[in-house]
Amino acid sequence: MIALEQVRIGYGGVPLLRPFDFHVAAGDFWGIVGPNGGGKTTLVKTIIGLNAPVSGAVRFRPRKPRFGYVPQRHVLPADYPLTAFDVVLMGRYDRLTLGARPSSGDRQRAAAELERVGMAGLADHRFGALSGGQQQRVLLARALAAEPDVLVLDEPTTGMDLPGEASILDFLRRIHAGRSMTILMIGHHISTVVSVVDHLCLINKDADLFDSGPLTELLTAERLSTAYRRPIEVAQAPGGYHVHAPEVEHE
Amino acid sequence: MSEPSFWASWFVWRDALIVAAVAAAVLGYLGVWVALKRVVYVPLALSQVSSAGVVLSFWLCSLFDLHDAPALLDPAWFSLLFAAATAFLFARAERSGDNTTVIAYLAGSAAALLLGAFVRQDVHDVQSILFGSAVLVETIQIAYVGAAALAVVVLHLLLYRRFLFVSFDRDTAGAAGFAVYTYEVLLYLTFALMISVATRAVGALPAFGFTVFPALAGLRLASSMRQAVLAAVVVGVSSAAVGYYLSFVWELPTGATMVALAAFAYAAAALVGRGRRRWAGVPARQ
Repeated sequence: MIALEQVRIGYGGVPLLRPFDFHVAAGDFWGIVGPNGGGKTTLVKTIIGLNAPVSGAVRFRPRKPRFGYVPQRHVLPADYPLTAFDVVLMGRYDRLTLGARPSSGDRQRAAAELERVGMAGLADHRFGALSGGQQQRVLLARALAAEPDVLVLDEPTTGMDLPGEASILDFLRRIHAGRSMTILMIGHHISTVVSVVDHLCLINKDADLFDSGPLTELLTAERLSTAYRRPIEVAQAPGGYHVHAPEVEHE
Repeated sequence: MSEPSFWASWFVWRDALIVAAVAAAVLGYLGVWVALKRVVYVPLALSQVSSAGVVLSFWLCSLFDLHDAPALLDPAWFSLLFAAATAFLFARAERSGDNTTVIAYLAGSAAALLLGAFVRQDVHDVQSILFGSAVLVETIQIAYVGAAALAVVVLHLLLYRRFLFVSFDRDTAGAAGFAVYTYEVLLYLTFALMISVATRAVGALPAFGFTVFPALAGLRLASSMRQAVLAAVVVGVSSAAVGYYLSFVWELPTGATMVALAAFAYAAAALVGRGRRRWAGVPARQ
């Protein structure tokens, strides 16, 4: 579905990493993890077309998929006089011709997605006045309102409390299973990410490292320790994995 | 001057009031975008750069000893051309977050002053073409302002939702396939067009004031984009009309009176907005 062939990601012609290949098949659920500033967002922006690769090619088969993108919510301005519903309706804008207004079908779709993420009761509330978790759900509803082939999420649970995080992850697990949707999710907490994904991508520009594959192959102490450049332990736990970074003793 | 003499001399102020009201309405609307994008210095810089274009056209006429500017050297074209060229830079600067606005403002101001020193035309003529007059306008200015307003309105009717998506969340708009930079440039071009034309018609101070205060007032009061735009247009047009009337009756500087009224409307809207937020239990804005 998506193939990165000998791609170097970077900004302004400056590569972050050596060339690598990366293949995403339809229906995969990928977790993209690595240290802060390691190149996760750059990778995702290259895939969805916001950044051009420094070299190599990004190919789509059989055609370019429709992406539903959920950015980090803190990058969005809070002072726009937009309701939660207005924001979700933006997910339908790429279907509108010049000057056209959203149809009743578009509005129904936006309302349905708000309902699905449990935000129907706050549809008329100002987006900027919602809590972080509520904003995240609205952005998820907007991405789903676009009826995407691939859902791309950039740290969707950052800053959320545990119940909020669990609720979002459970929702993603359900839409992946129910709609067979391809999902790429950048995650900050690796323990959280590995609880829902079936494929893992490790990226760290400072270690010039890019590694990708099925979760069972990638989720080893050795590979994670190499990616994070510190000792990391992985243990099988009831219902998933437990990933732990023991304290490093300093002299 | 008395109120009856104001109405009796309508033929004197009619054109100026029409131009000021149309400019205030469109600049009030565009100001909502300017405020939301947090680029309030862009109108100021555009005004200076377009002024540099006007002075350049005068200087070229002086250089070639032309008493009347031929169509190719018309100050209106130079003004628009310079502002439009800068609009491209501003659209790019918004992405990279560099200091293009400040550089454009300073370079435009310096160029206008330096070239002005070499212009042999009457300084008063240059000043009036550069900064217009909110009191009296030439008939041609009605055509310029009307045409610019029509172009801005049509473009925004066609592209409103794309401008909104790209301004609010450029990455998601880009992921959805929108040509983000193209829409940013088009939006800045509408700023450039209206500000360059309005600056020459009603003056730099009213043009800048109409772009800032009505929009800020509208955003303080509104809970939707539609309300914000409507409030900005109403505040802009009211400030222009009432300001013109008061300046005529009390013999005050016209442009300054209009801007002072718009500032007063903003202060009132800020108080009302703060009261409403306190009533609703929402923390005050920083």
